[in-house]
Amino acid sequence: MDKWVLYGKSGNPSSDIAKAWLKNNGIPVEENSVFQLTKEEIERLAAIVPGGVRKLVYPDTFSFSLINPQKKTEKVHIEAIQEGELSDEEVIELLATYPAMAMTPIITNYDTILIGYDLDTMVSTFRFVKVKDVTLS
Amino acid sequence: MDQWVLYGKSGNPSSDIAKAWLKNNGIPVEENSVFQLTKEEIERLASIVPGGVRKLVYPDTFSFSLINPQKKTEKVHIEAIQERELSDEEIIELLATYPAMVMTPIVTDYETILIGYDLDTMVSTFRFVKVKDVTIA
Amino acid sequence: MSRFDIFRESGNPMFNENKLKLGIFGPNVNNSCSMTLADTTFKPDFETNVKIAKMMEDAGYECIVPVARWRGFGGSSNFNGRCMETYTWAAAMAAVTEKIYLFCTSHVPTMHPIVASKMLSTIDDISKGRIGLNTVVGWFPKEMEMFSGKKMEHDKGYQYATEWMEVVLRMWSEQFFDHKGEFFEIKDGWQEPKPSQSPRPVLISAGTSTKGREYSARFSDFNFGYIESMEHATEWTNFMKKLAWEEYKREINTFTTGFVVCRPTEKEAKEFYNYYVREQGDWEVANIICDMFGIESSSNSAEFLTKARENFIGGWGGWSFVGTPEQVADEMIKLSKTGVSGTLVSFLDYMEEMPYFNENVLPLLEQAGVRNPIKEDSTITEPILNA
Repeated sequence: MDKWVLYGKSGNPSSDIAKAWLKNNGIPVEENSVFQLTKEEIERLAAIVPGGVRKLVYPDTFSFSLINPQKKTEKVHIEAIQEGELSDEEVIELLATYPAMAMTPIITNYDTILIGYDLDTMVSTFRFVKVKDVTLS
Repeated sequence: MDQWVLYGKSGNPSSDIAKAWLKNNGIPVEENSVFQLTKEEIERLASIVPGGVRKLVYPDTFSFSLINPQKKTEKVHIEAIQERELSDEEIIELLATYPAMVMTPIVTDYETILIGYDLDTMVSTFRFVKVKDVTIA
Repeated sequence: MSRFDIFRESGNPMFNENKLKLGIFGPNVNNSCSMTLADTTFKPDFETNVKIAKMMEDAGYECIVPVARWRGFGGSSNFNGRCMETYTWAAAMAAVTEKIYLFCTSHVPTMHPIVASKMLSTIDDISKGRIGLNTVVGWFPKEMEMFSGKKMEHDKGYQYATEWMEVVLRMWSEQFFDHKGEFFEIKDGWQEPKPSQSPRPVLISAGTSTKGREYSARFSDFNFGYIESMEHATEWTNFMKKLAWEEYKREINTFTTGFVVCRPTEKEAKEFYNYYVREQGDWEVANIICDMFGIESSSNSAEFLTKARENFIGGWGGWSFVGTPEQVADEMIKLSKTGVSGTLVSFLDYMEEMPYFNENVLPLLEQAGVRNPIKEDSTITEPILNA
């Protein structure tokens, strides 16, 4: 059976809609909060993302604030990250401290990784997914 | 008494947080959905915004999609608007047809206008606000 | 006596004296008729369906029409993806209800007519004569392709449905018969039980195409359809009655569907409409469905396309009953004057919204004389499930 994991943030429209899509299409997924991300897990995810760890982070402070209107501390770090002032190692450390900087949803089976919601990508990714084991030995 | 109006969209974090701030600070406001915006109302709001009608609209399709992950039609129009291919008149027409392109919350007394949520701006705007009339003639 | 006289005489609710009959549409599918991600307590499970049916029987509704769906339409709501199969649903509902008329909705290409006719006869016994049949050919390609790799072409689908229905009618009325047609060969056809209700289970079908209307005119007691205006409702009803009489010497009625948002003030009703349709609507699935129906076309204005999507999101493209109890009742009274026999209604949240409608709109319909008050002496015994 295929194992999928989702990192989300409640109240983020993309994250909520992706969760609804998975539920309404009968696809089991382990739902985690983005705030549960550990340093090790961020390293593991960063290794799969084309473009590396920076692609896990909001591209600018405006889009970050749309989803996190009350968070301020992160904004300085997002600027530093996106201006290329930090090493991958430093970015990973920062993300582990401020997980809100990671875009949600992140959906992965540790082969493929989806960041954000796009209907067509969901449909093509989950074609042939196996959701229940009915042929146990 | 000061009359404030809010245009919001449920599920948009900034909009929901602004509504909560107003409620929890005891400030009465007429709450409307952004989908109730008429052409006349858009014209009225546009005339108050520094920067004009363009500033009512999401600055790019990425930020629009973060709040409206399922809406596609609007994205072409947002590009056209922000690349300055359209007159103010044309933009107002488009916004009346596709109100989802308007950023929320919009909070206004038709003198001051706030677009989006920022705590400091809320605090400074609503200093000395009169919320109840107790000296009726 | 005509067929309709026999239905009336046997006390069939679909032929009672109410000028505007009321039912609900699709309580057996997720989201029922609303393509939205808005919050709702509604669940398409048996327990919820029994509660809704009890509430309807207490208020005097006539019928429940379930939706037959084999997969969802997509989008993040995957609208109608979760669906209780309608024959088994109807059999169970029949056992725990007393008065309401139930329908099975059957995609004819998915089931042999002998199996269908026998299941209906069985449910007729369980329900004591309260089961009807809604036949559909199947228009949603992705769901029909699961059965045979491809969806039957439209006209061929109706040829198939015609022969399918001929077999069902013979199974209900004949013993020891032979049938040889384009799609079925039956040697020495025989069936027990036959339906107990007179003259037979009520037959309904939707269909606005030429073939779809011909099929309705030939077999159905009610043609179901969408209305575009009150004038259109009258024209459509007259058209169907004329077609059925001139072509097949049969009577036929019409029935429509709509969605209800009823609140104490117009402002509250419109605000709720804004919330569940415009703000939280599943616009992706509305696009998928509008594309399938070919609604997207350059000849239509942006306003028209938006409105069409909103109607689908609001309640499967049905008539919109949005407003105060007086406004909703006025619209329904107008509808009753068009000649249409009744309307199915849908709510976003049946358990939360239907009681208000029942308490505030139904009395206005009774005052206007389009519905009769429910008879107090018709006591309802405890459902078998709770016994």
